[in-house]
Amino acid sequence: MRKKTPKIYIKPKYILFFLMTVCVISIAVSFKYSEKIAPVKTKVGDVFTPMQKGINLVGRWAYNKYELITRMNELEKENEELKNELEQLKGENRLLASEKYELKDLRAMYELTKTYSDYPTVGARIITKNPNNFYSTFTIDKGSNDGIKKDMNVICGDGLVGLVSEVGHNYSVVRTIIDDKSNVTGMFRENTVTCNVAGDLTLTDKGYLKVTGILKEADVNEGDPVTTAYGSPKFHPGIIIGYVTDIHNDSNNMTKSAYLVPVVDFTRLDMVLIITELSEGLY
Amino acid sequence: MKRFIVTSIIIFTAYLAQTTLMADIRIAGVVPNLLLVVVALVGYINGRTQGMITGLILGLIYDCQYAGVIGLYALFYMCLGYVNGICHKIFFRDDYTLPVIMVTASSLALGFMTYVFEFLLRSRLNFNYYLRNIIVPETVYTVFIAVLLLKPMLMIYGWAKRVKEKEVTNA
Repeated sequence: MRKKTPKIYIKPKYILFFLMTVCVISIAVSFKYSEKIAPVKTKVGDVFTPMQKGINLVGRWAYNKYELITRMNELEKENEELKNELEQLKGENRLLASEKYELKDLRAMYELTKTYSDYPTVGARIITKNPNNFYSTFTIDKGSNDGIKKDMNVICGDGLVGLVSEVGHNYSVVRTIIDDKSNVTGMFRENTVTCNVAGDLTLTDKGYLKVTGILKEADVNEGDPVTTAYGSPKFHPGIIIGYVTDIHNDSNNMTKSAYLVPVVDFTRLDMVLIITELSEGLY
Repeated sequence: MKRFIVTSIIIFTAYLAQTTLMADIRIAGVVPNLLLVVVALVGYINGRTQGMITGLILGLIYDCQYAGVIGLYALFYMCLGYVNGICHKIFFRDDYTLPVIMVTASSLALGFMTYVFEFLLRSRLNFNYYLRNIIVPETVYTVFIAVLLLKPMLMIYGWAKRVKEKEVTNA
């Protein structure tokens, strides 16, 4: 083989050492100045997100068609059931609607703070889930161009999904509450006993979250709903997280721990709502 | 030059496939690691330098889009690419044993490194659980993908090499 230009040959070993050093420095820098390197990350996201979005649109369309064909009978049956349920719910809704006005007046009288249902929300579609098995984060198709900011709360239906952890121009990354690094201050809706709700990878398979730090004297029962707490610095109060199960005493004999079944089904997430108002917290 | 373009296209496709298709097709909640397969195979087929660079680029893109700090996965993938590249010296076209062993070892190593840096440092000590439920299943799927991809990748690089030789003889 003929070489056109004489190449400078450096042993791969030395290139490796050089690049390793660069990587280590980069880790240190991005760890220390995470705010300043955000634009770099955004650039990469700007390139890849539209493509991932496109691929997912095609994939979703194909999957829907496939499902339509294979599950036709099932869907018809489900449709029938849902129609019945709808009639029932309509009746209930009428009752609730009339009560809502009453509640609004009463709230105004007591000057209670707004509940999360009053906050403005914006819908977003999930583009990609983190392909690494160790994390539970996903990317959505709204970013700073659509007014999304870091630390906004993400919900689905009426349950808490997570928190916006990173924002790019046309995408943002959401850390779900089942992620191992996630941590939420929760409280029991019935008696406002606070607790700590943390994601745990070892429990994700079973569909649980870990609840710790419930006072031993607190009167809590299995199946009690847990919502975000009033003292939470990043979350709006009153968003339902899930229901507790398997309450047991800790070995320190001062607190209790439990598991929590989230109301959101994280395996089937597709669309989420983002509360576009940041929680002010208590401090 | 041809090889460079081919590698770039492979990196690009693999990354997009991994983040869209693979992340959706989860078998038992575990995603096979296509990025690792590409890094390992490029290293095995083309040698140390290329494996290293491929690993660095894929890791950097992944870091920018998904990870908190930039450089951690770039470092992991780069080292794995280099180590796989060492085996290029005993590269033999129709041999499946060596790449399978290398991909298995790489996947286990990557899982272990992730555990150490992201979980052990936050005092999650239940290594046994992570090994059984995440690292090993992921390795099995990853090796499966690697076996499927080995032949096509050899063919693509073989084609690139032939084109290059032709250019040289024509010139």
